[in-house]
Amino acid sequence: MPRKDAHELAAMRKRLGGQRGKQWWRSLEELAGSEAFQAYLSRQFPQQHNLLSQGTSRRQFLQLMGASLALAGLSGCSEEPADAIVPYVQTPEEIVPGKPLYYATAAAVAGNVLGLLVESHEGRPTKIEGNPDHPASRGASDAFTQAAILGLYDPDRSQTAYRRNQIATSRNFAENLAAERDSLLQNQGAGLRILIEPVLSPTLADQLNRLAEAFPEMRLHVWDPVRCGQREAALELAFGEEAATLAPVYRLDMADVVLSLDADFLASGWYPVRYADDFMHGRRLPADRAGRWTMNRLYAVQTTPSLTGAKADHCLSRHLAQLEAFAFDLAEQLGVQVQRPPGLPPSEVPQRWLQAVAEDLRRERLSDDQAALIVAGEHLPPRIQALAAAMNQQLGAIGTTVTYYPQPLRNLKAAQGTGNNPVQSLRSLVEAMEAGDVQTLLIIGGNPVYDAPADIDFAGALVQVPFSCHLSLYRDETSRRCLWHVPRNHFLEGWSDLVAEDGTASIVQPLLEPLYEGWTVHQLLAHLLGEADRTDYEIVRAYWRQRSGTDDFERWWYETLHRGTVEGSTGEPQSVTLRSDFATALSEAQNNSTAQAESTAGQANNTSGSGAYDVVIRPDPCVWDGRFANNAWLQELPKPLTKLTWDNAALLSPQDAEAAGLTTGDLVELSAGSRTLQVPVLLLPGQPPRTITVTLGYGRRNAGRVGSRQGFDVYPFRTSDALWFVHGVQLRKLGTKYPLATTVHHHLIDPKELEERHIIREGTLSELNAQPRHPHFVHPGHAVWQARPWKRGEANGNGHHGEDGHAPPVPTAYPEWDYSDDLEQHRYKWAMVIDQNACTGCNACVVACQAENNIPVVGKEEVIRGREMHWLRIDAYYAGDAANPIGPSFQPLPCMHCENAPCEVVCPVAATTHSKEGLNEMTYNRCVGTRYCSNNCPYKVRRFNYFNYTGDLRELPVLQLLQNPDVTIRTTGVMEKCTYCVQRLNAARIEAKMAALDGGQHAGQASGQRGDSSPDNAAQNGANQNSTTPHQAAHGISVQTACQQVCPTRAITFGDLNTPSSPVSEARNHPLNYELLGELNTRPRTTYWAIVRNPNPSLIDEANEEAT
Amino acid sequence: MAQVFHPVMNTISRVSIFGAVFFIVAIVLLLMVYVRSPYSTRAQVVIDQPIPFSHQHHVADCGIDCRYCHTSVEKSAFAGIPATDVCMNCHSFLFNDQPMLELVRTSYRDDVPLRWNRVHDVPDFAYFHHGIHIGKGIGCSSCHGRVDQMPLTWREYSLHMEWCLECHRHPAKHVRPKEFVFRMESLEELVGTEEFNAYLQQNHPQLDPESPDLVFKLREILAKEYKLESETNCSVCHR
Repeated sequence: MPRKDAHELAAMRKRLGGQRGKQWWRSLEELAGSEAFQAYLSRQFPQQHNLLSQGTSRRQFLQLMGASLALAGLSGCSEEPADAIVPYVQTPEEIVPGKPLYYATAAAVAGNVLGLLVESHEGRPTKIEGNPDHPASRGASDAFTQAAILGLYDPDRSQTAYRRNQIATSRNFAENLAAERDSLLQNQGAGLRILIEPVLSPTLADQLNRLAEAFPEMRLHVWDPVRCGQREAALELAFGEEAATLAPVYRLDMADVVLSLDADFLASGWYPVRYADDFMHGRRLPADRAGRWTMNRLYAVQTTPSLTGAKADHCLSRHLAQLEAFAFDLAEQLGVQVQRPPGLPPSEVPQRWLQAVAEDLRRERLSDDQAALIVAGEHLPPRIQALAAAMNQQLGAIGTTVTYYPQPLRNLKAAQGTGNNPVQSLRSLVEAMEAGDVQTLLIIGGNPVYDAPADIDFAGALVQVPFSCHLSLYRDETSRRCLWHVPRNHFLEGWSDLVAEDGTASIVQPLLEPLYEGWTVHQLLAHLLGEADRTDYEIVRAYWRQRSGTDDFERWWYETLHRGTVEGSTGEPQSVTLRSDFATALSEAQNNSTAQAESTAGQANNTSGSGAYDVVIRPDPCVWDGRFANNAWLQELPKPLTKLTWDNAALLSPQDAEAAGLTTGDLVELSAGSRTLQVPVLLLPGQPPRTITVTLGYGRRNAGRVGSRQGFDVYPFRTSDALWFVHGVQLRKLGTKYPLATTVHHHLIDPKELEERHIIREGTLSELNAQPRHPHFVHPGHAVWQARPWKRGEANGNGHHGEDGHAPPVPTAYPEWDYSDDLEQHRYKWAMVIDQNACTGCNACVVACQAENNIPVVGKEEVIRGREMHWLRIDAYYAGDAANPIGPSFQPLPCMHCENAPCEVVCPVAATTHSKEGLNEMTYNRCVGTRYCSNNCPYKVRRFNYFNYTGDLRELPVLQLLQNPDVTIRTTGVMEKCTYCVQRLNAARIEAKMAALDGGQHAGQASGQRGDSSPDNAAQNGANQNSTTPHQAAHGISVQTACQQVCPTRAITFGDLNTPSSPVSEARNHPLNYELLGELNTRPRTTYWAIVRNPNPSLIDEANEEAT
Repeated sequence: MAQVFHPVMNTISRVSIFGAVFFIVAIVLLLMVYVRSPYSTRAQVVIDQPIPFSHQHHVADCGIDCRYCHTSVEKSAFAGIPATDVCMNCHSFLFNDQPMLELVRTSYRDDVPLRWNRVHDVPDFAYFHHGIHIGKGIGCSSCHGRVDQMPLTWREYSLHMEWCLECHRHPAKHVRPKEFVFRMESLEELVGTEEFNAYLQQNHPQLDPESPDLVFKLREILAKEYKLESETNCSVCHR
């Protein structure tokens, strides 16, 4: 029976108690079977909510109908507006009009350097992809980088310099800066301070070093609200002082057992793109010599649910203190000689779990280049991270699964003496500012007025500085409090260089002239160095001319630009050993942070009582530290676990919520000492009890029209001694509600029969190995699924379905389509396979799809009505009970491109039709907006334009530059959905056909040239150039969809089923392949690989024993 | 009670009921005629240009190949509109004092692009690729008409979807040898010319140049050779 109170635990337990086998659910409301949820489900079109807010009388209705009927006819008669063609004056050599070019560059969008390839249409960048040759991106990228293209064209970007918040000119600023420089030269630069984000550019480091020589008294301060020094402190603690400038680089592909101590290495840590790929390399189910599948195993102990925890085979949620206790327990088990600090509470990790983990980590490896690995979160207190390093040494992981690369840029001369971590650095700056020692302050990037810890009054001290200047993309909170604001160039607008974690250097190559009167950081420093006339191009080239050490620099330069990485720049890992006095150093560190230890202990005592909560602060998965607040794509991106958009919230466990009488959307006040934070509550399954998680980056005051006043600012609650964990926090219910726009209930696949539908199919490695050809968890229950081969009436290749002879296909009343290949003219049969095992839920594909397909954002109000437009959504399904859920398991859901598509037959105007390649096509100009198709879609992948969401681009011409010219911009009243990136398919198909025709033409004359007939662009489109016959040339095209290209773990395979050797054909024959809602006989072209987890057998037995 | 309506009203009402049907049909028919008329399609209507450029002069009189100016027509979706420097290749020597070309010289000198008015404008939701049409042996004149006979340029055909589909359904009716793609004459007009006979001799010696169904047979062969297919899926043009 439906229940009114959404998350009543008893209801959930009752519901779960009656189930056999695994039960999957998307939200707590669904699990409890609440009334609101049922109402949501039973309405065919929840999006229609409030469409006609007032009642309409019959007469009005008829009037409206008559008018709309008349208008329907007239809308087709609008005349094509006159159009101009504006050719070049001088023909550019490299551009073929109408064909995009790709340039290699690099960016550190959220602090991680990724090598990129950027697509440019006649000098206008429209899409960012990863550079396959770059070690940190490997052809993939992340959601932030995908959204950076919108950042470039953001109409709210600062366009001119400001002085005291009055518009000024760049020249005016340059003159002022020159005068400032003259006075600074008089006194050796005393009073000159520079506040900068972590330096990742060697040219910039070189400029700063030269600046330090010119102004010996100058001081450099480094501040970043996310990377604030715990990792470096831990390295120093573990390996000694000189190790603080090292960077650990994990080799997760070499690790067969991984333990994550609150590390979210798959999503939000350092270099998640690379680590996710490495990790999935060990999870990709290769069969060993005996034909048994093998995969790595991941244990996670976390303080808040994370994407890494969601992928873990065993995951525990604990408080920080319990986590620390667990780390010490484990260290003891592994034989690391350390003294367990007094006052730590018991970890409450079952002894058996601890022993199983220790045993698994210690296990003998078959080869020397394999080892276990412990990854500690870089936000954890240094002592825990150092302890993890010590355990890694004990496990032989150092040098095998974790290597340490030197980071010379961390050790800048000018930064010496300003404290060895960002917090100290910022504090010393603020102290100097307050003392009146700072005459000139240059703030390069960042937004310290907004994101400084609450106990460091940066904003107040800034008033004391006579000459302050902020170089930034936006005129943000800091800019408005500085004397000068200087607009900064986007990374696609200026030259620079960047060094990745392992030392690999890349040149940052601009894609277009600066849109506005912007400066690069190199130009700003050049002005200070008295080289005002040098451009960023000259500065970067001069640095590399010196550094490249080659005679033929021009050649070196162009080759480097083309490749995207500096050859031979990748560093050598440095060997490190634990310092000899590690145990004493660790206890000293423990004693030094007495205050924190006390509060930890105090908090531990509180856990049993009803007193205080632990607050965990994390960077936001969408807006990070606040720098992406004005990026509408990221604002509307549903956060991976909560599916919340446009806001942040306090994540609370269902048990605590029940105890405190709270539900999702209730405003609460968190208070720690004198600091308070008002924030709405959001219930999250798997959140550890007595722990509240909040994310940074919201509550911006001057972010721009998109980001200002969205969400709640957590920085005032964050102090320098409690950057990531605040203990002893009191929670008070305010009694008011706040609307939260979560998409968790949107586009539900009717879950009434969820048990029978088996939307998510998940098994264990041992189950798979028991039935490697035909695992039962992939095809549970229904004989119809097991019997039917996926290809109707065709030979089934080496498919696993019909091993005992083919069962006849399930009959259908839908029209039959013929996709068969024809030797004369190859016919494609497009299909996609999504490996749910590899999907980490990182959202990169959702943003990539948005960027590629001109998908608009709709705003918070419209999201609440369920009208978000993402063509690709990622559903998260939990299993188990609400307190200790398993997962979630992620399911990316694009259009299924059904062979028997229910949407096609109901369209009254044939706007959605079937193509001979099996695409389910949507023709916008035909659509009249009946929405029958969406009603009839069992997967709920169709999106309707209730309004003209893209808006009139003539009003914001800069956004016109953003649009992909190969995709139609949709207007009001039109249905849209995933097209399998048909514009890419068409481009590749045309390219292949043209190449084949050329080949055919020259066949009689010069057979050797046939392979060369396709132009360079064919390679850019992914066309195969190794083809030898016209047929094969057309046959072998490989094309990537946007979601596939961006995926860090390569979870998406796409291609042609009529090519038996294509990766997608092979993927569809994989034993794990299954069709979503296959029992509906829709014959989807998008299929899934079931999830396989690899739990420790000894822990499984225990679970079973408990159950029985 | 007196009758409200006079008996003549019976006739009037009958006439008006039937008349209404005819009236509605007539309006629909008129609309259909209207959308196909040059008044609506702007087909065969000369579009004013800032410079009275004559294709007739450049193509027929001077014999300049299409690709000299429309450089990317074989490779790209967009055929390419010549940059000012292409004009100036010749016009820095020829007619370099003509007031008619002042705009070209100004553009070149001041680095300000020319602004031509678009003649062939398909809607933004329709994607046309020049390269593949040329590659498959569809001649320029099949869509653009006899550009060599246009002193000022106009759109020869309506460019309506109906018109596109006519060829997309039966592409073999419009194919021509790739060797003659850039020739303005129709295939029928080319038959019998020396050049065409030489082509037949070399490539299709089995065909009789005198045969009355030569064009039909040749198109049949070409359709196979160029792998012409009826491309009528929506996503071929709409995406």
